Amino acid sequence: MKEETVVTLKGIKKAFSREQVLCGVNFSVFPGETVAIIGLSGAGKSTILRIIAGLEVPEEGEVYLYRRLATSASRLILPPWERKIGFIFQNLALWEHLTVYEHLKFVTSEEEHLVRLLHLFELWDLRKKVPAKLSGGQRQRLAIARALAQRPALLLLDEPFSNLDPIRKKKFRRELLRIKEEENLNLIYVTHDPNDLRLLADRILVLHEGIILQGGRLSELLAQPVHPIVKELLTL
Amino acid sequence: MTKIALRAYLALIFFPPLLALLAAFGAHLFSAKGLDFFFVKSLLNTLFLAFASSFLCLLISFPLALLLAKVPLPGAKLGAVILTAPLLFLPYQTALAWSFILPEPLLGLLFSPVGVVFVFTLSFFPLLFWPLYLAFLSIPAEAEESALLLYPPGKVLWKITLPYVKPYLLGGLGLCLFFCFAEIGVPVYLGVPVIGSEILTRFAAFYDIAGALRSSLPLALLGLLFFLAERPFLSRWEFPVRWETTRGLKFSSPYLLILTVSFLVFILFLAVFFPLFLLFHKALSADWQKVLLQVRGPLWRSLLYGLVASLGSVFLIFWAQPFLASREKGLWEALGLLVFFLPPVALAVGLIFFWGHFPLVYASPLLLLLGLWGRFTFLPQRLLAEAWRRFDKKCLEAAYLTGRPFFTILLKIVFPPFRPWIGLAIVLFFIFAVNEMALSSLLYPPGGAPLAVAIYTLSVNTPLSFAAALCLLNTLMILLTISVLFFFFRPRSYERRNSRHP
Repeated sequence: MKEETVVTLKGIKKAFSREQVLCGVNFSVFPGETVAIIGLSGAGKSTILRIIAGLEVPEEGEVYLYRRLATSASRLILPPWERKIGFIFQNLALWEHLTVYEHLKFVTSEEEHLVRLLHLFELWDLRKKVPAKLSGGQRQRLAIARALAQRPALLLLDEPFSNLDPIRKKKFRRELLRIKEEENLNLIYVTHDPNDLRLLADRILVLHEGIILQGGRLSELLAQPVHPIVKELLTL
Repeated sequence: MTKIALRAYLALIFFPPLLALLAAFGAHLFSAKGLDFFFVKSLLNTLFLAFASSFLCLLISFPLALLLAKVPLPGAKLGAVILTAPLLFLPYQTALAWSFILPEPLLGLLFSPVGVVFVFTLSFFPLLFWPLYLAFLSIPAEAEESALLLYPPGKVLWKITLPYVKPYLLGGLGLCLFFCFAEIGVPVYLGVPVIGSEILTRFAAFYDIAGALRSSLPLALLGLLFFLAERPFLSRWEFPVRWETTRGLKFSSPYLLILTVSFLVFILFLAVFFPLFLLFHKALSADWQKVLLQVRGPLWRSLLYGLVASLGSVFLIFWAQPFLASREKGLWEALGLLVFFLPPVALAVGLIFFWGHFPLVYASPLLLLLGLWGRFTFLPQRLLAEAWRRFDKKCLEAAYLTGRPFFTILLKIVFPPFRPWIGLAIVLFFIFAVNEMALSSLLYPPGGAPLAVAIYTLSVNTPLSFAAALCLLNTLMILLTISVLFFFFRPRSYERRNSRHP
């Protein structure tokens, strides 16, 4: 642990109803890095994000956030709300009874920051609307704005673009990269889309049968896959 | 801490009557006395009345729910809402109302098992109508439409629609059966002996707690049977909340439209408008000064008992939702349902047996509240569990990550989507608690009778117009209270154009 890391996972094991989902996951994310996690459905990709956020507790293993022990073998040392993590859920998990403005107001009391986010994500004119009145893309923007409202150091994205059409996906990727630079964010995201990997990820982790099978740049993984599934997942 | 408090609350509510059941079992085993002939006859009477009334409830509710849901009739929803009205009435008041108008030969029929079946049917059919109506409305349209591409509507109804509504039909039918089985006010008024009234009379006359306990045993065992038979169906209820359907199977024949209107008007006339009109007409000749003087105390007590019991139970169960592990929740739900299906007389006798050793509880309104909590806590348990099931837990996780205090999250994120469910649970609990007769007759504190009991006792030695006026006031009190509750808990539009937004 001499090198500065944002997140470090050591020997993470997690089972659901006796089914072992993660069987000793180890990896680190370094400052400024964008890491993508890929794998088959049910491989445990989302579980890794949830463990980092403190929403799940692993049976074994440790999670370090900025070299501080956050979770240790079935024990939550740092609760989710003290981890300064933004999370964009796959289904967005918007609060259907709150307006756009109230979503951000619930997260932050800094009015200036809030207004900036509303403008940044083109939500200012929609600030009085509830999620049910927003389009798919607007809802997605709201979810990202909410995650950024608490000024997180780390943003976790669980298949963030799965509900978007290709044109919006492209736009969002660009915007995400811009925000990442502006806010000095670290990103970890789960995806199935090879384009996300190509355009966003600095490093890709391939999760298979409960372990990180291989990790590295896209070109490295394509050049020297350690298992046929790696190439298959990357070239879908 | 909350978990411990909740477990203590639920244990306090559910275990005393169950322990009393065990005691009754012991008392029965070691007692030389058996059940006398009259007692067995009352039991058979009770079963006959319950089965016959439930069958008639089915005959009314099924076609009515099907027609209102599947025939495009303007104002069908309003009709369905008005059909709920009999649940707001004391079942006894329907019997009273019909006794004002029926001529001599028919009056004899009313004061017989036939009359009890008639009144039970008019009072309890909404318990079957509503689950069926909502189930018919919420059938996935695609399921019916895909079948309509292959088969005529009759076959689609038989093969697709009916299997979907089956758990609601059997669950609702069980509820009708149980409520008819447990009701004692109507049979007592119409002079038909039932097992509940027998226990009540024996207990009130001789204060023989061991005898009452022993006599309650068959009732409790039947309650257990209800529980076992009903649990599979009620646990499959998903509380369909879709309120209108525009697609799927529809019957748009003008004949069916006429049939629907006629049937609806006929039932509304029999169960709602005519009894209300008769009561109102009779109440006009009452001495209202005396009525208002007599009613004041019982009315306030009814309101207080009903509100304390419903609000207390619902908010505790709401508070508990995030804390209970699902497996444990299943256990408490099963216990809640079991106590709900204990006939109220047996429950009351059990509570008296158990709490009789604690004078502070025994002679206070707390005993009645405990009875009401035990009897109806199942309602908020089930409704709020359903609300919790529908609530996206990721919304809660997203709120946790913001670092806002727990109470803020509970109030601002969890409470709003729960609001209509909480309101519904409070309203249902309140209505059932206020109109509960058997439990209240046995458990009310000295000098603290609620209105349902007061009406009954006053009606014995006052003119019928007096009782009619009291019944109307009871209905009015319930209507006003649920209107206020509706105002607070109504589903709201959350878009606020003129709020504090910049």
